[in-house]
Amino acid sequence: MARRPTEEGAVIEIDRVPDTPIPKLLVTHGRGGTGKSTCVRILAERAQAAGRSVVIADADRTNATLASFFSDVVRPDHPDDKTVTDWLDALVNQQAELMATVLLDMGGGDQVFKRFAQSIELVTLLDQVGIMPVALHCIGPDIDDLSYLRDIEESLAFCPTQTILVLNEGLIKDGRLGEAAFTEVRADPVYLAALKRGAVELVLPRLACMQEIVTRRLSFAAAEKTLTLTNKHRVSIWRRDVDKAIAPISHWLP
Amino acid sequence: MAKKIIPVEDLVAAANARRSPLYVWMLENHAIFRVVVTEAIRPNWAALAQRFAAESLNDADGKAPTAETVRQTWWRVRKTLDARQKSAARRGQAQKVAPPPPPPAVQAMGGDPESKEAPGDVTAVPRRPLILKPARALAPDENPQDDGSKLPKPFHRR
Repeated sequence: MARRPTEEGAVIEIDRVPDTPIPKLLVTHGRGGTGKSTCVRILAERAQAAGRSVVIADADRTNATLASFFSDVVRPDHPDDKTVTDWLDALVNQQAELMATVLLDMGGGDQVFKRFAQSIELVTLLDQVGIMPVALHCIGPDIDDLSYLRDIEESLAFCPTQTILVLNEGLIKDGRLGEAAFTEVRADPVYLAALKRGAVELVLPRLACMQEIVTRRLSFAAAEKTLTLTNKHRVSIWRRDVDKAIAPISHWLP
Repeated sequence: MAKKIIPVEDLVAAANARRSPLYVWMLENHAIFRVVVTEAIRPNWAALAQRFAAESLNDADGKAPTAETVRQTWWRVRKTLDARQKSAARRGQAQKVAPPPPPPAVQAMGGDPESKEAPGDVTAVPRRPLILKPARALAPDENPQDDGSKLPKPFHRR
């Protein structure tokens, strides 16, 4: 459920705002394996189901898997820092020219985007040209999962108003409930400061058959049709819950 | 007859379709990984396998790699790199005779002299112009990874 704190620190629900045609640059951040590519897949499929086109840019240098799920995924020619920086530059220029919506998946703990965004004050630039910047941080129950959020927030490299803090329940390993598993993360000063400046928390529910879907390179829509009866039902419930969770911030999403 | 244009990205994706994420990662990060393995007195392949598994750098069957898989994958990557190096050396000899003009894609990117890879770099890839296209979810029958069965693939050696 998406939530935003009030001035007094309490949490209120955010009203749903109708989708707008404003192009967006949504950039995923986080450690490896925290669900960045999964979030990109969810958002891209959701946009496409609604008839909105998105460009997918995959700069994950350790695990670029999005091309297995989507056609026309753009990637840097080579994973060295210089090539990736030049590629990011070209990506932003092209996006501004086409006014397209782009989902940019950065690798775990990647520093290249941070340096690039900081050097050209990317949030300001995008605002100026009419593209909505969106930061999406993927976080598990491990307190160290906040390291990249801390790095980005303290450096002010890419801190748009539209910041989403995804708490990934799929990373809870010890059977604890989501509320208990994320207690430490939610109490962290960095997390609280991000919420205070306007970031929104989004809990990504766990999907028991996620590994099978990834292994078979299925879209979530296809998984709902091709898995076993029980898994099809699990995917159906999960998609409904995801839709419900992201509805309040749908105007930030592609 | 009209010329058919196949996007380079499609060819790259197709060429790597049977490669495991672990293999692709090692190929892309071979320089760093070579240092890691060389500097370790006796590489702990099991620990490396655990670390790769944590990053979802799985084997060709989508399973977490074992120590032996990591070791063999690295051996295959080294073999590939050696072959590329020999091929690059042969091309280098040929270029001494008649150096070709830079590819159009490199010219289109503006030709920043600092951005050119060093000669002899076996991973050097000419820059291509960035073309943004809307992505489309691949249908199960378009994806070579999906065998159409309702259960995960059984374990098999390639």
